[in-house]
Amino acid sequence: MSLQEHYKGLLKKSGELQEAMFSDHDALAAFTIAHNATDDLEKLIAVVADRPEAELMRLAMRELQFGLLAASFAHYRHAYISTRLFMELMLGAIHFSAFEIKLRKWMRNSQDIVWGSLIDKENGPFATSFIAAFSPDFSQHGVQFLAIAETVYRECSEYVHGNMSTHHKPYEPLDFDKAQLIEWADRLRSVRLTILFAFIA
Amino acid sequence: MADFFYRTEDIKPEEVSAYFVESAHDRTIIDALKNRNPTILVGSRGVGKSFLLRVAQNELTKDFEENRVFPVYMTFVRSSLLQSSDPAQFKHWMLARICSAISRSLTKSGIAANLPNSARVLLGSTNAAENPSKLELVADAYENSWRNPGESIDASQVPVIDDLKEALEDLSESLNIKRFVLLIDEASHIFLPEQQRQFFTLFRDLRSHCITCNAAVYPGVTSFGETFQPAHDATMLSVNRDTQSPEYVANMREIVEKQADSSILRNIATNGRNFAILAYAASGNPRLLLKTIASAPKVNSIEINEVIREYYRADVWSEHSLLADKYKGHRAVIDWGRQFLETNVLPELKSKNDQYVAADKATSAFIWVHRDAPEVVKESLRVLAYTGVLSEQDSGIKASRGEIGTRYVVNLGCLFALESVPASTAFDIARGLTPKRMTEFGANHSAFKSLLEHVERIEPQSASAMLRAQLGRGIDVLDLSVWQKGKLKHLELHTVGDVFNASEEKLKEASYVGPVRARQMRNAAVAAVLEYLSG
Repeated sequence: MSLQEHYKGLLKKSGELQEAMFSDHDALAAFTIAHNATDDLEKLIAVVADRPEAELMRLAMRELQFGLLAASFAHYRHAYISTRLFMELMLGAIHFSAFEIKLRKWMRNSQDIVWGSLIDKENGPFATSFIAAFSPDFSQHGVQFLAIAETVYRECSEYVHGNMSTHHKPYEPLDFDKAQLIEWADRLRSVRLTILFAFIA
Repeated sequence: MADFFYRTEDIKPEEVSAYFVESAHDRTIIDALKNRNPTILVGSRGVGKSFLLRVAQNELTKDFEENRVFPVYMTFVRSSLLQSSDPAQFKHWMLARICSAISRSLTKSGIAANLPNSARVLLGSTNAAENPSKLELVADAYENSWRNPGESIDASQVPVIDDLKEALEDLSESLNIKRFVLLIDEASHIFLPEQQRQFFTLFRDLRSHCITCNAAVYPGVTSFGETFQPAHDATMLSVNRDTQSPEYVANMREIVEKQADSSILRNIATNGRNFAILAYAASGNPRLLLKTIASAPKVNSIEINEVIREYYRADVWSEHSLLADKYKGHRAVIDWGRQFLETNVLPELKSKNDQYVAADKATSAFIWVHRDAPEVVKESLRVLAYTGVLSEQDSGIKASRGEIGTRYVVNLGCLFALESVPASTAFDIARGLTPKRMTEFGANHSAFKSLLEHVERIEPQSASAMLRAQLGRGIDVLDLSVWQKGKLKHLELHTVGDVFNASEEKLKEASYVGPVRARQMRNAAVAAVLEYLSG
């Protein structure tokens, strides 16, 4: 078999797995909700289209699209990897919206987006004082959404790090897994909620 | 269903702090446990007594290099298993357990690679290399005596208290330990007053400049013996959370956040009022909250209504009634307590709250009982406090006619369970509560009559008959998951006694149960059996 035939065969298999997901009512419902999240988020980005961090948000959305595509092909681990990156980039953009110099440094490759900074209880985007500076009415809720963000990030990280529990049927051919698809879509819902809160607050 | 840790024993001691959510009252308790005055923690099942003991232990361990205060945690949960012929078995067993807990803790901590000669009292021999020590074997023998009731056990190596105190004083000098802090969990059995007396006598006697004793007990433990005086010999602290505190719901939510997955946390965030109802229903008891949130992971109104009805109308009461099955000599007192609450108290409170809520007035979950109410009534209320259906708030409260009595608060979940749609009305009831509104029960209230008429002189069952009856019960009475019970039944382990006797090897015979899972299952099963046996 030639190299082209090998990879075309994999592409064909991916199509079959996608079709299997589309044919399952519950999986399709969950995937549709996940897909529709992109619309909400695009609308938010449109609101801040003129701001410097909008470009970073567009990069984040691209990662979300990769995640959706991976999930549709039953590449669940890669869906989680993209979802986690999407989360970091979006929250990074929201955090940078209050620190333009950090954004500019990031865009020049001289600053990293550090997860520890994003969940910092004193200075991160979920911190009470950070939120109070912009939306005092929401400030008391930051700690709750921080807990959701930390938990879902950890859940995604298990797949990024290849924890044993994330290797489902490792010696069997790749297949559509309804439970995994629905669980990933559920995680994405939690990611979306934390981003919405951080954006609005 | 979510796989939460409901019991502190299921969490590794060194990991307990990762699950800790500190309130101001928790800090007061932990600081009291760490300081030099003896403390008795009182609280119903699942409020967090064991947890706080472990947090105190971890903090003292962390600061040991600087402060040289050495904590020793131990549990007396197996006290109900003692069935030997030794008339002083409980005292001997306590001393053997204390000695082996101290020697084991010292060895594990690495403070002393080999215990000095002064430690031979703790070991029961001069051979420090023996593992387990002679005294540990003595304690084990007492705990296994239920298998051969009446067997004779050689307690000659068990030291007397004065020798133990001297040994600890010598050890404190040779190991540069300023103070030993003993943290004794499940210190006394609620239905064995003689054990309670012996425990508190020991507690009082085991005090010196280098020993502080602390203990956790259930409400209803009231036999203090002749030498121990609660007001003078210890600080009595109640483990509770004030549901009316502005931080209450957030505090309870943080407890859930330590264990729940993002899905549950998201549902809590988007159904805040429903979650608050569950938090109020739990009445400050983390175990109740974790169990109910595990049954209502979507936190929507349908689940809230269902879980409030099922758990607080049925499950909570079935636990209470289980006591009557286990302790037949106390059946009348236990059953009357349930009847009193279900027939008199809760409907009365509901009826009043219906009017108060309609009129936008403050609501009530409180009752007041005259200080001269019959002792057997107070005993019944103490058993209700043990299960957590009722909680004693304050004594010495003046009621409407200037009479003095004790105020209690009912479990809010039990109150909400009477609502036709708890998700709609419970929140307003919880938020409107005032202790100033309380339903009063005078010294000769008519509701007490039925207990006074029916209670016979309470003859305590012989401990061995009680134990035999309990070990013969089916495993469905144990607080284990459906999966675990299925595996046990598959292995033909049908009774409480079967489970207690089963080895890890036996458990590995079940499919999909390897060594790690077998250990976990055995630990969970033994903890459940001990909890069941301890009442």
